[in-house]
Amino acid sequence: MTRPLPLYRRSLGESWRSLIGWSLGFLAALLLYVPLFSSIGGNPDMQALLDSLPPAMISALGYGAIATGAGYVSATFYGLMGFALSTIAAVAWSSAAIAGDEELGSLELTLAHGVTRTQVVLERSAAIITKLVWLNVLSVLVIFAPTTARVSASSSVTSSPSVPPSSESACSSPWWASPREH
Amino acid sequence: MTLALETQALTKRYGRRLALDAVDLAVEPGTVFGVIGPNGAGKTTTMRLLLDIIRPTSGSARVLGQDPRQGGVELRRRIGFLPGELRLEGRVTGRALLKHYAEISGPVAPGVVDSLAQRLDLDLSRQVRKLSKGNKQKLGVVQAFMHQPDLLVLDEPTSGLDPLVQQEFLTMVREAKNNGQTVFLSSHVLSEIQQAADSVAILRAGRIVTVSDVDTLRATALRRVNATIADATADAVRTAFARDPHLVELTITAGDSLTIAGTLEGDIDPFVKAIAAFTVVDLRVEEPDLEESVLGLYAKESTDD
Repeated sequence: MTRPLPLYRRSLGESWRSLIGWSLGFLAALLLYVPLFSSIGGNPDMQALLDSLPPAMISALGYGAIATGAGYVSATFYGLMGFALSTIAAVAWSSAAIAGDEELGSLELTLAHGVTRTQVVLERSAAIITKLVWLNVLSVLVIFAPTTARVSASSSVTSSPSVPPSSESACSSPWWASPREH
Repeated sequence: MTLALETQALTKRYGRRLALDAVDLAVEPGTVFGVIGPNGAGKTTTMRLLLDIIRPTSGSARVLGQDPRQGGVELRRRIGFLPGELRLEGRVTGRALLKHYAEISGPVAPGVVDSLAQRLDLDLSRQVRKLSKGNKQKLGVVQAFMHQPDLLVLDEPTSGLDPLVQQEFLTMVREAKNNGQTVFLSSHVLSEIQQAADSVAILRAGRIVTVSDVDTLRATALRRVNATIADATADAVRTAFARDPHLVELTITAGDSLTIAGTLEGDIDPFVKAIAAFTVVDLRVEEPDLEESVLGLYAKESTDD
């Protein structure tokens, strides 16, 4: 009966459906951009196009490091769709957590029980932060999943660690580990 | 003995609107105290103040011997609250919702939830948002009663309940009282106050009009009288009753015999003495209705203003 964080658990328990929805949205956005890396970020034509643009525009777009893996996901996902989705989710969840509950008239009953106002705010905030962390952990997992799969596959084939990095192994290490020089 | 509930000059002001104007209440432990009044009289405001959901502009309240604000969590665990505008949403089942509320209130003995749900004929396995208004209200009643709190604060508890369930609810209130629990309930359905409460406060426009026990209220209540008198003229009857200060709204209809109708406020004796001088064919004195008497008090108050 005295399990900890009752409001935190209830917030999470009531919102798993919406969390699944947001997770699918994140996945969709990731799968839209990330597989196109080799044809956009890693494409020499793209690099030529970028070189023809004024540097101020490139920095405004955040495309300065688009040729690298890390720069590419930063420019396309974390700087754009991922950022927008996280912001929308954070705003929607946060306004529903206290203001929405108050607006509905259901906060009154919660506050009439053995909880403090501070506790309500903190536990519900913690639930929102947990969900945001989950969304971003999910995106990191999805970005790295093919990489780690290929790393483990290639390490089982590669017997000697002193083999110089080939083009494939450069591709199989995390993107920022092999920045293109330019 | 400390009072279960006590307010001193409790005042709540919303901007320029005075919601509650210096309300003094005292509720003995182990009694049922009813508050009646029209909408906007301040019943809900009083209850929210007692639970520290809102805070008074001035004045003070003591609930179970403690200031609601100081008492905090431990005090609210000893109170069962049913809000007047109960909003229950969510896809969770009634049982899961009650489990959640049990976690944030006092300990609930095993089996209590089920027996309460059974008494109120409530299905706990259904999703809360799909319940009708009446069934949500039952869920609200269960969450207020389930931890057997020392004080029950119930805002219009029977709204939306059908008559059979209302009776069951009133039985639960009586049982709570016999358990030594204190019940503070509001209503605009006066019959339930009449049935359940020991004392009644009448609230109007944020002020207490009167506090009395139900019997006293009934004694000072209005009675409707109808009589048929033979062998008398209308003028004679009018003169005879003019001396009775308690009789108002006298109408006399002439026919084969005289039919008189009127309303008595308070003491019935002068009317009986006056009518004794005539040949009374028929006399009916209607049982005072708390509703009418309360409305009478409202009416008097508004003419005073």
